Amino acid sequence: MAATDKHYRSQKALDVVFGVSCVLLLVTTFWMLYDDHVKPYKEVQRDFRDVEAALYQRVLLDKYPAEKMDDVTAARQAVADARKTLDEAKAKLSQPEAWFKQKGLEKARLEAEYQDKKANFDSFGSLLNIAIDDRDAAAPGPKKDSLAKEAEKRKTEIAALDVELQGLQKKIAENEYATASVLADQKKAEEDVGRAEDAFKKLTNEFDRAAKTAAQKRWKFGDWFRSLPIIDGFASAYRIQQVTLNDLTIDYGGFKDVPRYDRCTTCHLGIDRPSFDAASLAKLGDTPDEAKTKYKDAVAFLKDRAKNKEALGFDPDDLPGDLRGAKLSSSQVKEYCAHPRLDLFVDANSAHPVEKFGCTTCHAGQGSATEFVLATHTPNDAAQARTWTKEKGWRSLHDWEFPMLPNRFVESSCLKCHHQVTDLVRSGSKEEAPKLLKGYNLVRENGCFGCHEIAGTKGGRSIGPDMRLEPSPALEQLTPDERAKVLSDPTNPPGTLRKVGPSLRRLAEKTSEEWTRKWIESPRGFRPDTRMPHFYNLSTNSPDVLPEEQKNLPAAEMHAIAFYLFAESRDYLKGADKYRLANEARLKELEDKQKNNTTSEKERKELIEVQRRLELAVKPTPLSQRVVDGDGKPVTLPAAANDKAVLAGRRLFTEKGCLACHSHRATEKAGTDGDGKEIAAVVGEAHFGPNLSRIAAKIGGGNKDAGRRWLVQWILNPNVHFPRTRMPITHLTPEEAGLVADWLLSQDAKDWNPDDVPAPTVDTLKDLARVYLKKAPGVSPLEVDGVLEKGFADERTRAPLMAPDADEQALKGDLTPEKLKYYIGKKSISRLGCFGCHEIPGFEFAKPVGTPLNDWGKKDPARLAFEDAAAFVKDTYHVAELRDDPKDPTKPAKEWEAKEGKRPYEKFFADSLGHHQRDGFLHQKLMEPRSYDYHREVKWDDRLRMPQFRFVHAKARAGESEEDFKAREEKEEAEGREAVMTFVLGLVAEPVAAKYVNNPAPDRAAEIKGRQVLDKFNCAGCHQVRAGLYDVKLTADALEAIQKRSKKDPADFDILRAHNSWGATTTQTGEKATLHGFPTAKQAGEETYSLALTEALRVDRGDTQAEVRAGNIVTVPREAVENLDVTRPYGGTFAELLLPYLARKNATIYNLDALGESDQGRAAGPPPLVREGERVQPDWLFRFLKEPHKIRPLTVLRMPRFNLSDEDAQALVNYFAGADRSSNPGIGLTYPYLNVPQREEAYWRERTKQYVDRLGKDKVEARLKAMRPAWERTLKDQLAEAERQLESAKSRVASAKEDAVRQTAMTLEAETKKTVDALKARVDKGDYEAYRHSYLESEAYATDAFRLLTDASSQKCLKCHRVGNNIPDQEQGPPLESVFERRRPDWVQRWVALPQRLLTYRSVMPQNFSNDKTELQNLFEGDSFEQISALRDVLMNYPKVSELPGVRYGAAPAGGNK
Amino acid sequence: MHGPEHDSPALAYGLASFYVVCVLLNLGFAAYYWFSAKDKGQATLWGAVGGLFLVHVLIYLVAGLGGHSGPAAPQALLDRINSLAGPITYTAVSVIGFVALLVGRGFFTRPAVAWAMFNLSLFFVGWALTEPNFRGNMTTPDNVPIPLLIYSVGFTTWLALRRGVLNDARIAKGEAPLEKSDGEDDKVLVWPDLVYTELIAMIVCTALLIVWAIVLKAPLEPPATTAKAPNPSKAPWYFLGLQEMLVYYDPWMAGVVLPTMIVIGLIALPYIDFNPKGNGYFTFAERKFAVTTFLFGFVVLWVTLIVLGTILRGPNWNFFAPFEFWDTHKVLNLNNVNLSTIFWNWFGRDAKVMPWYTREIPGILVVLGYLFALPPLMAKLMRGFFIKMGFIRFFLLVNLLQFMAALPIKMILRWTINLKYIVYIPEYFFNI
Repeated sequence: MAATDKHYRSQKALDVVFGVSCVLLLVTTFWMLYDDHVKPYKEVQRDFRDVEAALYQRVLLDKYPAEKMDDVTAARQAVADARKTLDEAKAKLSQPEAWFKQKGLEKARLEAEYQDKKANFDSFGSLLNIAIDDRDAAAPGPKKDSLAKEAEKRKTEIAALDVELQGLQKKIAENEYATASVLADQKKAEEDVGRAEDAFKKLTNEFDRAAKTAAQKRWKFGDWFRSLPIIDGFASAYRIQQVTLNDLTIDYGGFKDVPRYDRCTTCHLGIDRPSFDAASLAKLGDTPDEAKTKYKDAVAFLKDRAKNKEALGFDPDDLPGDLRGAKLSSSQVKEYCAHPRLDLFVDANSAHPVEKFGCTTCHAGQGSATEFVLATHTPNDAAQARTWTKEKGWRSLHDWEFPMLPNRFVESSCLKCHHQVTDLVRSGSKEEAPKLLKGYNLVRENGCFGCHEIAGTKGGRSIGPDMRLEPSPALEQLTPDERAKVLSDPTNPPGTLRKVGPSLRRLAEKTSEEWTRKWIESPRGFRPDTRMPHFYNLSTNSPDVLPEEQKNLPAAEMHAIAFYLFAESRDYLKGADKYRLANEARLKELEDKQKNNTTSEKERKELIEVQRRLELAVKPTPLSQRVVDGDGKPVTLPAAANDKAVLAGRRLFTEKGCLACHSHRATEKAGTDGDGKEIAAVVGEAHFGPNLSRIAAKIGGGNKDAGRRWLVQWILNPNVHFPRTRMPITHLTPEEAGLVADWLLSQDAKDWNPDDVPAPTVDTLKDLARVYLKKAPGVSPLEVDGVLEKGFADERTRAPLMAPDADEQALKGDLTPEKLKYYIGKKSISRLGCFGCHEIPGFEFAKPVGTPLNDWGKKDPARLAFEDAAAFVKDTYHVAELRDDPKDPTKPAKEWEAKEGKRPYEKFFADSLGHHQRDGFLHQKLMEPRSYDYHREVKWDDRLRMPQFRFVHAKARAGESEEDFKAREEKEEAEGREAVMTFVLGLVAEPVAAKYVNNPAPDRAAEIKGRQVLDKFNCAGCHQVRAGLYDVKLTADALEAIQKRSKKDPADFDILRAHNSWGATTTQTGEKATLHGFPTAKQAGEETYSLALTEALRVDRGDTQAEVRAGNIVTVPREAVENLDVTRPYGGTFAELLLPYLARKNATIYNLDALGESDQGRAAGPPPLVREGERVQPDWLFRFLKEPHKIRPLTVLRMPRFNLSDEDAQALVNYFAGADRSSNPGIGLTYPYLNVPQREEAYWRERTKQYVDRLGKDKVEARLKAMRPAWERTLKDQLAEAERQLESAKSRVASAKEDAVRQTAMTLEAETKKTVDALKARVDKGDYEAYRHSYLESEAYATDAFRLLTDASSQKCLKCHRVGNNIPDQEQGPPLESVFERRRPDWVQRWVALPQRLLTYRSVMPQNFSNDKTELQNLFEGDSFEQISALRDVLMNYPKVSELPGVRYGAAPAGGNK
Repeated sequence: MHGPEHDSPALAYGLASFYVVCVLLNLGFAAYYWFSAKDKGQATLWGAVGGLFLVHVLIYLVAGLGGHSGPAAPQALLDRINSLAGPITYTAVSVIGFVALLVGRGFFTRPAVAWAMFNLSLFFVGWALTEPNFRGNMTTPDNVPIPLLIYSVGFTTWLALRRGVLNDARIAKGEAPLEKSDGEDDKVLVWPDLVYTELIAMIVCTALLIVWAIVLKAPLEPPATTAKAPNPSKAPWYFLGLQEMLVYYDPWMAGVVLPTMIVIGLIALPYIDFNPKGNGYFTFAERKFAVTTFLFGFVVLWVTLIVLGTILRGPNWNFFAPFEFWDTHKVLNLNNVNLSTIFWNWFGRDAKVMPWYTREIPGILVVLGYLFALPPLMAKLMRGFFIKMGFIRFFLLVNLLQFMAALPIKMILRWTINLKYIVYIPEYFFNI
């Protein structure tokens, strides 16, 4: 097969094709390399390098000490001068240079020789030792001799060497000395140079550092070369930055433990650099001429120094010659800028360093992506989405399951590790995640957890916030044994939250069926700000959307529900509710069985259970039979007040603290009381309890007497009606309660008068019943119609055909409309889940009806039924692009208002819903929960049942137009909704490695837990609990204001400086200072902000040194205060409301100053609980919380009694102590145990010894003399007592009948007799030696100190305080005899020293002992601080001290015999 | 409702460039007729078609410049197409088309007809792309091979048939086939005729792959997880024909037996083939059976099912018309019944309560009959074949054909009588 030379194809053509294809390959290869070169992140890094260079130029400029240039020049001159002196000194040396050289050589030679000899010396030493060892080991003989000789030789050698070495050492020293003496002047000059250089460096150090950075950041040739196309494929100057997180894994569902790689910092290159703040970056584009000149000056300055051979550490030629600009778009600024909260995040020293937490842990998104779109950036609103789409080709990626959280939801990530939620409040009031906290509180307040499980634990491991309902019966109602059992299960600890709605067990006493129906139909119609959601007239069941045959069903359902509730309630009040009857029946059954010994193990257990259930279900006593007070004692119902007296009820309602939780529109306008005196208006915004404005229309339901009775009982003791209510026992007298009730019931509620819900026809009821019957278990579809005619026959309702507790039992026997209503009502309640918030008879064991929210935040959107909600949104709302005004986010945007009657709806969420995303679904669910049924054919009972909530209740502001208010209301509601969403989206149930879960120290943990209890009972409604934290920019004005207040009070004992009221714990040296304090009630003007400090503040900024102690009011410029919303103080709302009210009531007592403050007014309100932990003894506070009593005479109201559990009370006690211990470590607070040294005998001996020594002999003698009458009386008292005992002993002997008894009595008699005799002898002899002894030993100090307390002439204490029987005319302070059990000794001392330091307002209590004066030496000798300490000591052991002879019989040198 | 480009000029520009390609193709074709074939009539015709496409180019360019996406296909028409679409129609149309192609091969393989059909398909694609659902589906980077597949298979099939038709005519006239007349010698040189062309092909292929890799980046899909299967969960495009079989057969059958039979069949092909004709040249008339069988198996049962699986199967493996939104919530009536149920119900007995061996007797008999009774019957019917091929080869062939036919048979049974399984023995996980 010879090859022919003829080709199949044209060779030339092939060559051409080959050539073309080669070129093609070459081109594509270059294209590939180019494609690599233009990877987005490389572009970003390329741009960044200019930004970086320009920014460091700005830093350099910023640090350039232009205005101190004179100083700099001077300092530089000083350096030059010093150098010159040095040079001169060098020139003036007495020896020529050659001499130094020679000396140097000599020294080197000597040192070398020394080293050599020294080595020999060491070596010979070791050889000697070996020789000695060998010699000693050798047997006697010639060998031994020669070894001995060798050793001797070595010894000689060593000795010689030693001499030589010493000689050399001497020579070296001589050499050094010779040189040093010649160089002495030069050395001094060198030191001078060093000093001058240090001074210069101090001025230019920061600048030099900045210049060095700027020079280094400049792109040099090497960088340029390595970043060339193609070359950059090998050792690129650009590189991907990556954080590897092996413990913060990504849960892909199944493939657990996939490590997280975050490459976000590849583009966000400035994220951890503080100088890269957004403002500086945005300004990079400007290069004003003066800056350019200044830059040139700065560079010239550096170059000049380099020319002068000054060591800079870098070459100033590396700096760019000109000031460069880098114009950045707003998105570039965001890309390059530093994290806005470097104090909390990213920074290595922050709580969440990026190396440990990465970025996507909080922000989510695909961390390993290096492209904008693939990283799943998520726009924060529709406008941003549009910009991104245009600028960055952004689109939403559905495939990544954890897309980046839009900024508005970023706080939800906090929940992953901060399971307590309240741990996001720092330093008492700083909300680090305000939106999340708001959402948490809304979920808590609105009772979402009643229907939706938010468990927080999975397999005993904490995975999120625990918001479960408390067990029923509640822990407090259980026996210790049952409690222990409930508490011991680690996988399922009991929940802590109570149902948010009232119990409906006794509803029949409270109101009428008609009212209940109207209420169910439209709760907000009756009470616009109620938390009760709307179940009716929604998108699925309003008459507009229902088909003809269903139009009547909602009304029928409402009737049925009200009917059921009242039927059950009436039965319950009769003690015949189904639960009780069923349990009683079962009990009887089981007891019978037990009698016959036929019970099984299971039944025995059940018997105990049933007995216990009945025990817990206390039979109610109807109100018509009795009304009880707070302690459960029956009281007579006060007579109804007349029209005039009723007005006094308003005063009580306003003053007694009702407004801390409730609001009432009638209090918002001034009125008069019965005597025609003004009652000032109080505009309360409290929302903890219901708004009571229309209560008159509700209570009693038409029956005035019953309503009044109910209301009085409720005010006196709400627990009668509902043991789990959070309404406390108010401590009002029955008369007061009657007045309040009368006033409340007299308030007009006629503006609420809707038509009753139309009564259903029997046919409608049947239609509705049919719906449920068809699906009832065990009921055949065939019998439904029959049942709806005649009801269930008796035999049909028996087991096994029908369960005894089946709802259908209600339809037994002849069918009546009532039976139907009852049946429908029960079915409807169980469908709608009313029992999630209310206690309803018949639903004791019902399970919540909602979807669990435990991990809703990561629910797969594919598993959400979006249905046609997007169409609903399109048809129902007016979709607005923005909600917030971009310029002022506190205001609604322009388009954010209703249009053509359609409510505004943010496009962000409309888009999200359209894209089937989780947040879009959730948003719409909260907006109109049932809209997912839109245009769907769904059976009546299959329809969505979540009711519609409103989260925020806005009030129209003065001067606000209707539209503006509507728009703002919608905006606030949208914000509330978003807050709830933030919380729910954070429920991802991702178990984070234990080391990442926030695990606070015990004090902090106590604070976190306690905060939850404080919120639970609205303690902050009355009391100021924690001060606000205000970040104040230290502008010149602010500094001046601080300086003005920086002074010491005469009573500021330096010994108290460890306390943070006297001495600041940290010194503020930066640009900002954090002030702890409360704003004053009124602000003096728009531009300023006045704060009463609660912690001392020390500023030391070189130019300004100031220290302001607590209790001072600092007035700073308002614009200097940052984040006023986030840092507001916690609590005190009612106290604030009371101030102006009281001032109107009595302007002489409660006189307001310019800042709206009044000492008396503050003292009349609920006390601030700031520093409560250091103030009170923990066990006392615990008892007080459980059983509060009246302490302070000035208050117009009393602390009510909440039904706190022991755990709650404990948590509160720990809260205060823990908070104060961590914020004020200097005072050494201990809890829960407390040592009061004043209770120790040794303490008093010690003090007395010191005191007696201090007094000196003469004064002691005088005191002893003065004590005699007291001892006399004491001894007489003793004798009298002994005689009394003797009498009783005698009578006992006489009455004794048995011998044994008589014998004992006689012994006693004899002994008593002996005592009497001895005492008599002492009286006769005037023997007071024992008293004298104990006086000198342990009483002298206390006796004198007590005089300070009771001194009538100086009236230090007695003027205001009650001490024993001394009741002052104007009692202002609490009685002092109980201080020993209430207060901590340290606090008493500090308080007496200077009350102002410890309060949030100027206390009524004056400063009694001044530092600069020494007074009352006749009463107690010592300086003021010793007197204060002595007062503390006697107060802290009052019961014992008050029994001392000198105290009882007041052996006072002057006064004090009252 | 998906994707941000509701009204974006990007779409208009994309379509305009598509039509530019169409214009160029037609101009090239016209130029060929004008200059090379000297058929001015044809040249004018295709020039005019090119002009029609040019109008499209202009329309979309103008729209794009105006910031719009340009005119879209009328929704009514799309709806009409959607309403006609369905797996049955789809398969029926492919089979009918296939038969028509073979029968009318003389007509269809004319260059002008083929070109006209090609133009029609471009026209269809161009307008169809204005519909977002179709566009979304077709422009997914994963699905890019499908158009390539459709056009390359179409072209090669056309080419083979075209040459077959020409050769058949020549043979009928007693001339040698085209392949013979192409060269005087049927041997060519390894270098350069083989190796050089291979080298060029390699280079061009590499360049093409590089371009592909740059232009169409590997798409990001959801992360792999055991907890959640993507919906629809699709095999790589080249296996979608196999996956389609899973609709009708159990995995052991559709995933194991049938693919094995395909492989075995392909290996056995040279040994079964007894027809010496068509060696080295294209022909249809001389190899009617072989070509028809192969094309049916490849084009109808493999390629069109891939297209079906890629474009028309959506979430839950439901059938979606080409212009229909892939709604996850779509539910279709897939209430199928087993043969045993139908059979025993007919006799008034409840199949559920029977032991499996009694219950499944009819199905087992049917299968056994199909496998063992049919071949002898066919031997009788196709005596000529049987005699030519001999016992083993014939039965091998028939068996392979039976397995191939098993799929359409089951498809038809499913569509006509809602048959689920012929043999249904869940007790042993054995269903046919």
